[in-house]
Amino acid sequence: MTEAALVAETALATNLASLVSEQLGTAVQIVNLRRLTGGSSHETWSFDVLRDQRSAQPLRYVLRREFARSSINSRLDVEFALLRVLSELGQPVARPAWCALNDVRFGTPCMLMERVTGVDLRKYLAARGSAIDRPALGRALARQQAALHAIPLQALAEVLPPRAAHSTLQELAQWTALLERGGGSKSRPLLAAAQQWLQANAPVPDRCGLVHGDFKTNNLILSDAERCVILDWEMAHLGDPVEDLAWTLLWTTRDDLVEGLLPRAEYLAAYAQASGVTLDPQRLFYWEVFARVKLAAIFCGGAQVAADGPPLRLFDALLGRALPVLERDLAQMLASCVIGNRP
Amino acid sequence: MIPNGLGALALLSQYLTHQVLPAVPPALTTELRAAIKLLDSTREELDALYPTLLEECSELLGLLEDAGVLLNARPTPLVSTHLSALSRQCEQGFKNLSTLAVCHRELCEFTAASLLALQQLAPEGHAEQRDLQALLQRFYAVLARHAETRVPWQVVFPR
Repeated sequence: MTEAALVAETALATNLASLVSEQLGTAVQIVNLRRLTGGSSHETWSFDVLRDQRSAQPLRYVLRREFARSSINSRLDVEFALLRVLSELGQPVARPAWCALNDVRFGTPCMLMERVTGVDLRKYLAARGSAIDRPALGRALARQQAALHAIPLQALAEVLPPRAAHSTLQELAQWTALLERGGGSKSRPLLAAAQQWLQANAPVPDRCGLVHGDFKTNNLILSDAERCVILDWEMAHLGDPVEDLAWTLLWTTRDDLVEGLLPRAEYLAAYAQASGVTLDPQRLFYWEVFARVKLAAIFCGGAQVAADGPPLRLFDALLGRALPVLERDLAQMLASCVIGNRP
Repeated sequence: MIPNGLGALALLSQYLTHQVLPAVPPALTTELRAAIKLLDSTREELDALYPTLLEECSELLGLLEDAGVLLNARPTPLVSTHLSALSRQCEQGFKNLSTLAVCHRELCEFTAASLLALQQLAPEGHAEQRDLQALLQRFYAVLARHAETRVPWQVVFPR
């Protein structure tokens, strides 16, 4: 670790101790502070809190704070409030603790929440191979996804703004704006074409629900209690639940929900059974095109290099190089529309 | 044998993998692994880039010329008369990789504009637009092939 990084980490520990002791009303010590990897919009730190000598069990927390190269425009205060509501509703989320939007000690908005002990489901699947009942876990997670979509909107009304009938275009506008900021579509014909197609074919939502926005295995923690806790709510919003489903369908390796735990058709069937909703293939197709444009926007947004901005993270550069995979898919999907072969 | 540029990149990747990676603290391993993957995939790209861009420029020019013939006959001319100028520019750029890349980028921008126009003119399912739809299919097929060529140059998705 460089000297500057060490100084920054020491300062962070001091500030965390200050914040947590204020909130708990007792002196605390911060131990085991370490930065976790990953994250497109926030940096995440794990740490333990020791209250006093008599307290045997440390409190386990995670700090999430915004960083300068965030590719996703999300609001920590909204995410914090949403987690609080979901926690009260008994949904499997990490319990939020405190949110500090303008605390000068941290410089950028941050939030603290309980640290869930367990393992990232993607890593768990990679390590355990076929030694687990993958179909059963897949069906359970399809049920969980359907349960999120069925949360009554009135329970979320104070946290997430209600969406109008044209919410699909609002959602699209958000991602195309990020794509354009990242220089995405001007010289990438298929991204431009897909945006135009999405604009022209936006379905009117026939139901509205809580969309997690990134429901996939690396955002699910298999906790000690053998249940999955859902993390990373930064892209959550109200919208068409099929959007959420299509995003999940985008990830199809053996360590993903779809094709890893269940074949695509079985995952969809499990979701349909749990939700009681008959899925419209055309609507699903629309959101699958959308999912690729959204991911391309995230990749482009993260991989852009601003002359006066912070340096590009190597991980973001790697993600940016994956755009052709999405473009190949989009070409095939758009071509299927021309010949009238769309589902 | 003295390594060429691609060989030097391979050496650098091996050095980072075998000498540096085991020695760095855990907080840096993710970024270092990303750096190694970036090096390796870039080496693959550089190895194939010149002939790839050359072939793609030629293919895009042919596609745009055909589009020009078809679309200029329509009430709304879509493919610009700048195509011939761009074609000349690309031929000059074919002498080295960096100028070829600039020409390729300009052709892609032109292709994007043409594709958007085509999509508007040839909505799905309109039988009377068969010629435009066939052209649109060619655009998608060519661009899908170009994207497919680049799939081995990334490591995020299965290759």
